[in-house]
Amino acid sequence: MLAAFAAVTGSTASAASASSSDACWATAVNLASCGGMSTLIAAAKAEGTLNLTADPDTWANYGNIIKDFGAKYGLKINDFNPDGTSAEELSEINLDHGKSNEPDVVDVGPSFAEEGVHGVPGSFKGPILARYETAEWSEIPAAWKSPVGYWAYDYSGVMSIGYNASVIKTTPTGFASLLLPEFKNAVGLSNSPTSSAAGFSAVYAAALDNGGSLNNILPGISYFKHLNAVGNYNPTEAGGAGDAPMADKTVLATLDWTFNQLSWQKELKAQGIDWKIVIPKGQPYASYYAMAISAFAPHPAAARLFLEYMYSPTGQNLWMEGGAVPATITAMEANHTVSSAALAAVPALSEAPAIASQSQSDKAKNLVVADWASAVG
Amino acid sequence: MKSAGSGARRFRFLAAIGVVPFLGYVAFFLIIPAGSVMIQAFRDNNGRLSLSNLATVLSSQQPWLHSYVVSLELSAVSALIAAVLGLVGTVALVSSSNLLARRLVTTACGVLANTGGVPLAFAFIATIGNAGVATHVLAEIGFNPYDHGFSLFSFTGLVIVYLYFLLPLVVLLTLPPVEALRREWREAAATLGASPRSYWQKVGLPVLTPPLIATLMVLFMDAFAAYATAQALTTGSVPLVPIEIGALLAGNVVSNQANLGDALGFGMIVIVVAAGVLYVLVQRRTARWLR
Repeated sequence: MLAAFAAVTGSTASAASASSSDACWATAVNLASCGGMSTLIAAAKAEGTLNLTADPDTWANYGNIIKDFGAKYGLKINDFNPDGTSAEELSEINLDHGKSNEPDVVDVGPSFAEEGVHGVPGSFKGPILARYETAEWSEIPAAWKSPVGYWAYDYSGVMSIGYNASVIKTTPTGFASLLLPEFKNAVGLSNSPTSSAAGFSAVYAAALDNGGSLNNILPGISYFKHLNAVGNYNPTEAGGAGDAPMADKTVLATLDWTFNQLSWQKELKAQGIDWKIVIPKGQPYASYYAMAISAFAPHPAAARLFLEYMYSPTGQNLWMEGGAVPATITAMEANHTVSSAALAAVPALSEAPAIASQSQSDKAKNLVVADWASAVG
Repeated sequence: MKSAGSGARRFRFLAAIGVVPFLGYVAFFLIIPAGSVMIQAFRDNNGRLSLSNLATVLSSQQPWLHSYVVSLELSAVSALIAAVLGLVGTVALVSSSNLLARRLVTTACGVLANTGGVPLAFAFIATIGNAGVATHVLAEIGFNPYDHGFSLFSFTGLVIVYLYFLLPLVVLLTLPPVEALRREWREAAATLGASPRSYWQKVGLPVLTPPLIATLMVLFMDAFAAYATAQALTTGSVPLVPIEIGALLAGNVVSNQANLGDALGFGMIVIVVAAGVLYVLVQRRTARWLR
């Protein structure tokens, strides 16, 4: 009864004055807040623009996502810092108020989403994110979203081995394969595990494969120490700055997300390199990113429309077509809304992936920060 | 008399206005950011004044102190090698009578001293990386450096890459003092029976020592602050302070540790200021000889 009342007053308000609808969306916590999907679309079209940040075209299919979303709703999509990091995304929300490059929506590591809610004492006050629950909110598992709607997991990568099959003739099956002499100097990460979520997750996945667990990442650090000792670890930025180290054969194998491997596979094919993707044997490891709207979003309606789109089966399938596993996958499988292109893009997993909780991964991060340099130095 | 005085004052006033843009630039891009780093370095995560970040940096249980040691070693070794090789090059250049060669080399040095960053890293990967062209050629003739303990992605590799932009800098910095060594001194030494060796020992090097120390300080600071090249090549496997700061301030893994990054930055400021003060002191002495 109350909800119906809210919906009615909401739609009356937006019908009464089109110009006030945008102001309404700035604080809307769901579609019903300001009159439903059609009003949201109209308000977003009136804004005309959406500012994203740190969503490179080659990452998790963002190139196609941005093209499709922009065309569908006639919006201009900007990304002023495609190669930015999670920390930079929060800084942009904090420091770019009123500037043309102020972001509407961020896609960050979960610990950064929580930082956006609670703030950093002495640096900035939280929340700098806006509460908003999309139509599919209930399909996202409870542990994967902010209990009060500030953020939700959007998609995950699964840790995988990508390798140059034009050079390497025996298919690697797991972490042990990368210790073989044919990978001399040639196993890379996108960046140091102290700096890149994919690198950090590679260490976590190696831990699971070497007797460790989500509560014990040390065997993963030991694995890389061993990889370095046999001369196979190459610390160059393999993927952090694009696929150049793979294209010139400096790096013959990388441990990275399925969606990055898939995008390198496409790029390297043009250069005559057959880049193959393998999920290491044993329990797979996955880690989610989280999407959130800036509390100061210059285009609040477009931001909310983008989230509605991304969490709908259309958006979730697009992420999946890029090799990422979307947050509502279980519900989508039950509803038979997974597209065939999406199914083909994500390698079949032997079992449900291990996903670390925030407290587990925070503990693991501290160990990696303390031990990484001495392990591979 | 009076009019001349006010003219000079007006000129000084105009000159001061001319300096304003520079001072503004320095304030916005150096003094204010550095000040903010120094303030944040002394705040804990609750915003209170605290020495906890510095204590963390200096703790032997933590990796940070070691990264200062490695950063200092890398900068010192690169600077020393560059200074020795560069000085030999400068002396050869000044002794050369070929003016065209001299002009070409100095121009090239001006360009090369400012080369760096990710493009430089990729240039070296393409040349002496494990799949580089030169490595391939060496492997063909039976000497693959990677089979003999060499790696571009290591401390040694970084020294080699740093020399690429430090060596030209040495030539540019030592050219004026070496040119200031007067021919008459050498002739006088020779007349009095000094061998070239004792000329350099007793006259040349003592005169060049202050400018050489100043040059070393500049090289050291240049190498100490370099970031992008080392990041692209080693991503912190050679733990350098700027790379650690990058991971703490702008990474995807560590959150909520920006103040620790500021404390690491504060340590770098202290070291660079010390090198800078030494540079200024030595430079004053040098100026006497160059008059």
